[in-house]
Amino acid sequence: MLAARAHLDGRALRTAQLRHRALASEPFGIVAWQLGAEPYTIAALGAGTRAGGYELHVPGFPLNRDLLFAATLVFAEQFCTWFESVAAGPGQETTHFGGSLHVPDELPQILVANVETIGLLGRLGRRLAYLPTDGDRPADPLLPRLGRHLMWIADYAQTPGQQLIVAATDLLASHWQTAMSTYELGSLAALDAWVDPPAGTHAFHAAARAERFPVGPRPEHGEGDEAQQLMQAFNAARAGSVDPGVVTTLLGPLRTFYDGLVAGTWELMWLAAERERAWPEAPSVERRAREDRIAYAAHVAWMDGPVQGRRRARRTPRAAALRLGELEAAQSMCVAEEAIDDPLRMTPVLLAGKALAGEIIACEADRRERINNRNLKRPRVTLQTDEPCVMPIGKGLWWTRAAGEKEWTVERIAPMETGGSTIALVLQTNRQLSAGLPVVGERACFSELNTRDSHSLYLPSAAPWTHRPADSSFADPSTDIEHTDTENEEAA
Amino acid sequence: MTDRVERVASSLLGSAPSKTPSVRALSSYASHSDCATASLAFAARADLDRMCTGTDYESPIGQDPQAFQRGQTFEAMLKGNGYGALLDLLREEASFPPTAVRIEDLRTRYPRGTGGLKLRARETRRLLQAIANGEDEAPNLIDGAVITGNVAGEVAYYEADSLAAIAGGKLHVGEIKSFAYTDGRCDPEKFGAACDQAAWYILLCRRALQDMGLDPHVVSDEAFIILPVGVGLTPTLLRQNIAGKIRRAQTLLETAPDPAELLALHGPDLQFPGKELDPQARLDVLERLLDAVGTTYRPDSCLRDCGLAQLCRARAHDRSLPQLCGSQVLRNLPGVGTLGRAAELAAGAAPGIGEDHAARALRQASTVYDRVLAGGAL
Repeated sequence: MLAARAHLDGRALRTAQLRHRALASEPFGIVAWQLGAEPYTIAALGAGTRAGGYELHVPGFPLNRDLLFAATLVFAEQFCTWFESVAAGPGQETTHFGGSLHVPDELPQILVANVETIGLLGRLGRRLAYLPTDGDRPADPLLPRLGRHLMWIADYAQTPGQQLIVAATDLLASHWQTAMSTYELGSLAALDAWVDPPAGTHAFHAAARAERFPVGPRPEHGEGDEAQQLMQAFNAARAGSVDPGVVTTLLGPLRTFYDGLVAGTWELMWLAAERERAWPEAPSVERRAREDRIAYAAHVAWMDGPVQGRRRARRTPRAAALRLGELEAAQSMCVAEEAIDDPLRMTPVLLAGKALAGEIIACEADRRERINNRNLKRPRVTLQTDEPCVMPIGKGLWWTRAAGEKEWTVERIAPMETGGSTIALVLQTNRQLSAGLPVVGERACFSELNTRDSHSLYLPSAAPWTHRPADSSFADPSTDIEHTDTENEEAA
Repeated sequence: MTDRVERVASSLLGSAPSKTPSVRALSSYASHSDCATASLAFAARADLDRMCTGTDYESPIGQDPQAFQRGQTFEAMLKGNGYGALLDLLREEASFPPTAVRIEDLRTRYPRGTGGLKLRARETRRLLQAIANGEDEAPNLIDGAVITGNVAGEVAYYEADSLAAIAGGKLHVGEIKSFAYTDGRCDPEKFGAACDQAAWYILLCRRALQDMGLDPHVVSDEAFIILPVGVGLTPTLLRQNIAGKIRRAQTLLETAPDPAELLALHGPDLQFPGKELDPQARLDVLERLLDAVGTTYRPDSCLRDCGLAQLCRARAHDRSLPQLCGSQVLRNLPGVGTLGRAAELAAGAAPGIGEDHAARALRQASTVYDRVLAGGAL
């Protein structure tokens, strides 16, 4: 319905009355460009805050390890300084897995243009995280440190509702309905055009023009051709030299080229974020932001611990199952919290027959019923809905104002001539709810969604044979993928 | 293809950009086989990716030069030194014989162009026969095989950019791709596309063997996908059983509309726009063709790899088609012809035949949405 209306109105429509993602006062922005289909390299990277602007990092010829690492090292100094400084800021002590953890008050938030950028940062992190810092070609210790940060951030980004790293495309797509397909939603420029089209222009035409604007990180709009020409000229001029004195003076044309690309995306990304900032923040954002801060603090503590932030590159079946359980629990909680906070978010739940909303016409606060030979208090409310109720008798529902407490069960449903239903609900406890009871004359919403803790996953310590890999390479302890890089260097 | 249909195909193509049949093109066409225009272009060998060049609807389709170079470098590295790296990999992972390996490199042995393709097709046929008959002189590795295939009524030379390797008495198709394999994982979409291409190759090989009266099951269901590991270009080989994809390819072939029939149906009055036309004239010709033949626009698939996608999208927008919003919205609007009509039904218009179900849902959604916007509560 909203897609049809958006098509008719010629602009995107809101799917939320609130903003369901935190936006820190000064997030750290990253805009990245990769080289063709090279998965583990960056051709250019702009990073910084909105107020301070971005610092541009261009290796020149990223297939050359020395050049790539030299540029990445400068980025590592910039990023690690900012990222780690937040942990040392004011905060609170909390108990985490039996130990004490300093949780900062500030959320170290990273803003990127799209989900692909998160993937690229994760891959760059994977490349750097296990670099040897000794031996024939020791890497600067800051590089594996950056790698371990990026790897963790990219992994944490999969947590539904997290706000540590925010992709502008996700931010817009989760708050606006356009008449675009899922595939097109990946374009930040097109999404932005739908949200705020030029006056008198249908968003479709604005988006069709805007999507030709390169956002990165993949060079998909022909910018790879120019980049290659510049890179060939750069390689010819440096004649195999990786001396910073020689390279820096030759980087000019490539820096100018990538500066133009990064600047466009940088502006677009902040424009989208700042426009969303104007919307009021949903109440549950604070809880999720606290979860993010705890996860961040635990990560920094792990980095400073004896293993210096090393994590498994391949999860064991047990760890994978536990992680999947965590993601599913976070997803359920996020969906529930957003719908409970925001009536527009609850609308699809209501239309799917998983919630009911209406006016309270009766509230029997002192009602009692006989349970196990005891006369127990079981308050009952009756409400009239505008939509017909198709739920089965006995179904458990949670009142949105007490979604973390006991459920109500559907006792009876009577259809009304107007098309709605009269529904009686009985609270399944004699304890007082924190929000009291629904008041006659007010509108109330009951849904399947609740914010109670999800079940805990208990798994055997050893994986059963069904979950043991047949492929022995799974157990390969070699995690440094850099040792496979000889061919690229030769090609350089 | 009969002479008459061949003539129609040739007249339909005219001076429009054309495309050489290849397994890659066949695999790509398979995902658009329900589109009449794509089928017609396939039959006439028209290159849709270049039809809109220079117009507002030009799609940024094509490989980035760096990506292309990466693929070339990886393949050259595998095949360099007499296929040394590839043979080592096949010995390690696919029980290839340690000695007496016979390699047939058809790609470099024969000239480029149609003449070369025909010669390669004849040689491929001879080699397949030798393999199926278990002859001592049969090769262990064929690079650049060309298979004469009859696909949806069209007989053409299909050039495979993959390899055929004989291991354990069976012929395995090997696809060389340059996307990375790290920590036991790779891009599932790219891996799926590689398996799709291998499935078409296997199917064509089996059909060729069947035509010669030989056992098609000499060709294994198991494909070899060869990828670089990690950061560099060190190769690894993944063995993947793609029986399901081969069956899917078979079903697609059997159920795809016969392009020859389409040609016979539309041929004389239609033509793909010639390269020499200016962009606007080309668009006019294309629009007429699309009007006459019809299209099946599916954004999530078309925008990825069809050169006409942006034009079809603009046409879908002008006609207010629900396809514009993707499959999910389309599924939610059964019986509703346009997005404009959906908006009318949501606003309370009386439903027509077949619109009842969608109209009820739309009306309800609209009422609740407006109620929330007006009152701030459900």
